Formats: sequence, structure tokens, C-alpha cells
Amino acid sequence: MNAIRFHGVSKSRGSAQRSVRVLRDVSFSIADGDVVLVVGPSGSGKTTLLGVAAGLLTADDGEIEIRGVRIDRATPRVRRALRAKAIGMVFQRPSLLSGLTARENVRLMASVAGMQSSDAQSQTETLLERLGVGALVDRLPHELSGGEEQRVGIARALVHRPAVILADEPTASLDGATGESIAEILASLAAERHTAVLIATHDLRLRRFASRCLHLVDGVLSEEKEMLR
Amino acid sequence: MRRLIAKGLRGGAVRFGICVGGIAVSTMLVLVLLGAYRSVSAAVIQFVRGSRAGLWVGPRGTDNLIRSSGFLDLGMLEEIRRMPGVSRVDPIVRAFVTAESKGRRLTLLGIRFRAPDGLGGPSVLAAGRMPRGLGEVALDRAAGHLLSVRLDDSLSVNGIEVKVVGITSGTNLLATQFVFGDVNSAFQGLVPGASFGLIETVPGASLERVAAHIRQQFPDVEVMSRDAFIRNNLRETGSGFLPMLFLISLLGVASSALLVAFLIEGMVEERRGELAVLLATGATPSAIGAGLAIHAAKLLSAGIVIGAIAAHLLATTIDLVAPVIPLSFSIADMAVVSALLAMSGFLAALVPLFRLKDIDPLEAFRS
Repeated sequence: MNAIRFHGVSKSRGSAQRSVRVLRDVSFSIADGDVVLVVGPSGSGKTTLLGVAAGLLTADDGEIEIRGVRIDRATPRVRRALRAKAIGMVFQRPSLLSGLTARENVRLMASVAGMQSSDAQSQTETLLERLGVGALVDRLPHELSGGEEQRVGIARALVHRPAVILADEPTASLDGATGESIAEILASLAAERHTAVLIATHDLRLRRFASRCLHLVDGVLSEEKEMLR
Repeated sequence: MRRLIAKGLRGGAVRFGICVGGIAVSTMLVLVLLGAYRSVSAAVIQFVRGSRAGLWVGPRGTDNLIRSSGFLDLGMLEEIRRMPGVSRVDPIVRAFVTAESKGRRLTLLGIRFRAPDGLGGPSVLAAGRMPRGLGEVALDRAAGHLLSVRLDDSLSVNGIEVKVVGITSGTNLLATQFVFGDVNSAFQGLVPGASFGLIETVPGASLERVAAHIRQQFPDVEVMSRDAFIRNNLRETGSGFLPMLFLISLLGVASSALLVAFLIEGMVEERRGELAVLLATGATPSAIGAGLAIHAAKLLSAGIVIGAIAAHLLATTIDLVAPVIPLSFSIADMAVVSALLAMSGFLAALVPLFRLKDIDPLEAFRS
């Protein structure tokens, strides 16, 4: 089953006088467990693509489905609920809540998703352990390195077992080795959990963790030939 | 979730502490002012109630003790004493006097009554005894402190040497304090009559009937029940005090509310990235708002509780060390002040909370 499906999606941004078409007739789909990269130069529309996929932006035309639910037609409340339950997000900077420990940051997302406390607890512990930060669960964000923070950010994105992960430049603020290890672990966790992953990035080294690579230039999406992970 | 959000968004301890301190000082300010007003009111009520007089008679146009003028003829008071239902009539003379001791000088409200057991004497003696005639006074505790005078010391009142035989409490009106002496000393000082006549009625006599009788016989005097006299005095003490109390309290409440708004605004502004991530990941603005509101509530509670405790300690310390400013506030006063500060602080916190809607969840991708 397709976790994400875009069909003929267009999106313009800016004022009515200076409107710019950021996405032009974009169509693609991602199956459960697939990792797909979207690469393209700055301003090509990658962030807009993620915003539209997350229901944070409304498409002008086209259809967007997340696990069969038309997020483009959903009310703001349904979109929010969909983000809380079916979508996980990884950001360039994880922006963990600075007053919460690593464990609490992950638990907060579980709480936003409405998970049972016992399930949330076991998922949190398992994921943080799996991501190699099990010994740091009681540390505050400022006590973590950039790579450790991003691992906690990934745990936060996965804790509620989303169908889809949307990742925006997840390795951009990390050194090469750390970035690769983060991407590797994200890809392997996604595969284990049958979670579809859409990664917007400049970092072409991440290709080796992806099943497909999409190029976005001036809002037009083109598919690179299928790759083997 | 809300508690986690509140915990996650909490700011630095120093900033939190400064804001709590500011709210505590505002709480103290309002409580101290209210306490001072309550004490003055309590002193007035205590003096009038403690006088045992059911009716107070004064010259026409004089309805309170604080600002009185004119004198009553002593012969008229004697006639009132003979009226049916009246068991006792005592004159008091109130006049500002100058007290001096050890090079210190103080203006006091002199109350001269028929010492030692006439109506209108001090109702509470903290130490010593009632004055028993010429040359003896009972002095307010705060005045004693200001003049550095203790029991059995001497001081000069309007140039006449007198001995302090009693120390009174509940007789401090802040702007002035009471000194009690024998009324005969006033009459010897060429005072033409009594400032007020205090009337005690026989048990079972109707106060209204006695008052009506006096008004009929002496239409040129004010006849007031004890409660009416208390009300008049409270109006008089409050007339200067209440507008100032209101104004300064308003400023105190406003500064406390601004501190809360400032802290929450700072949190919203500095944590835009974290708030955007929360919104992007599906947290509702109401849950985030509630988290911030919990933070505001913690801030206010800490500030108000610390302020109330500090005000109580301040009142106790002042009473022990330098009892010149009487401060008395009840639990109800504390509750009212706390509610007022909490409400205003909470309303102020709503301003930055409304600004949450300006945060675009897409900022999470750009931070």
C-alpha cells in the first residue's frame, strides 16, 4: 500500500501580485518501508513539498493521500490529528524542548499522539536504546552533542509508529560521519517498521540509503532511475 | 502533555527567580498598604467600641474624631446626664498636642477623658495602668518608640512634664498616635468645653429614643450612634488613604501583571523554533497555550505565596523591632490580594498566548 501519494500537486506561494509556482504538477508515491530522497537546489520547493505532505500548507491543485486519507481535503483538525498519529517529522535542527530530558522529549510526542502510557514508555526506551542514546535518556538537550540530539529527534519522530516520516535536511548540521550514521539508522528503523520515509536533502551521500531519488528543480519533479539500497 | 509542555518551555532559573521576586514585591506592596489601612481602621473601631458609649454627641458639623472642631458646653452635658434612659455622660477633649522627650518632638492626638475609668479612655493597655489624674498619661506604643519613651519615663506634653503610666496599643493612626490624659488637665488649660460627650444608657433603654430626646432638647448638636460614629471615622480615615491605596495597589498589580506578560512573551519569542516543532508535529495550540498558562500559574503562585509570607514576616518584624507602622491583614485580605494579582497576571499572560497564532509551524523546517 502507498503510504504517500501525490497526484498532480501544484502550489504557488507569495502575494497575489508576485505569486511563484513552487510545485508544478508533482506526482509520486512512496510505498510502506521505502526511503525516498528529494534533492534539488535551494529554493527548488523541497520544504514546500514537505509542508504540503504534512498538511501544513494547502495545495492549489492535485491530490495528496497519507495512508489513503486525503490530507489536502481534510479540515485543519483532521490534518493536525493526522500529523500527530500518522506522520513523524525529522528536522534539520531537532529543536528539542530545552526543559525536557531526552526521554521526556520523546514521551511528549507519544503523548501528543495519544499513546497509552505503558506503550509510550516501552517505545521510548526501546527507540532511544536502538538509536544508541539509551545511556543519555536523562540528559537535557544542551548536554547532548548535535548527533545525539538528532538521534533523539528521530526517536521522537518514530515513537508513535507513524506511517510516514518526513525529514528535512536531517544531516545538514552534522559532520559527514555522524550524518551518515544518522541516515543509516533512520533507513534501517524505517525498514523494520515498514515506515515510508521522504527525505528532503542536499546531501547526495544519502543516496545509498534510499530506494529512490527524486529531483526537484523549479517545482518540477523528475524521478532518477530506481536504485538499489 | 500540558505539564510536559510547561516543563519543557520553562526558562532560565534566574529569569524565573527575578519575575517571582517582582511579583512577591508587588504582593508585599499591596498587602502592606492594605495592612496599614486595616490597622488604622481597626484602631478607630477599637477606640470607639472600647469607649462603652452607646451615643456620641458633638458640636454641629462635627461627626468624627479625626477632624473635629468646636466645643460642647459642659452644662449641656450635665443636662443630658439627667435625661431618662441615660446612666452616664463623660466629656472628652481631643486636641493635637506636641510631645517632646530626649530632644525628639512629635505631634500626637491628645484624648483627655475622665481618668481613670471614664468613658473614652484607652481600650487596650499593652503595659502599665490608666492615668489617674493630672501629670499622668497613657501613651501609644508607636509614639513611645518614636519618642524613645518607656513606661514610667517622663515627657513634656505642650510644655508640661507628665509621667507615662500606661502604654496603649491599637491607637496608632499612622499619621498620628494617641496620648491619653485626664480631662481636668484640659479644662485647666482653658479649654472652653468638651469635644464630644460620650453617653452610656441604662440597660434596656432605647438608644434611638434617647438620641431623639437629645436632638429635641439640643437641636444644635450632632447625636450619633456608636456604629454611625465608627462609620464616620472610617470614612474620614479612608478619605485620604483609600485613593492612595487604590492607586499604589493598581500600580503594584499592573507591574506584577507586566512581569508575567514579559516572561511569557519572552518564552514565546525565544522558543519559536520549539513551539513551531510542537505545532508541526500535531500538538494543538490550546495544549501549548495551556502549557504556557501552567507556567504563568506557577510563576504567579510562587510570587504571591512568597510575597504573602514576606509581608507577614515584615509585619511581625516591624511590630517587634520598630512598631511605628501598624500592619494587620487577615487571611481574607491575603486571599483577596492573591486573587487580584493572580487574575491580573493571568489576563496579562493571555496577551503573549494569543501571539501563538503568529507562529507558523513551517518555521520548524527553517529553524
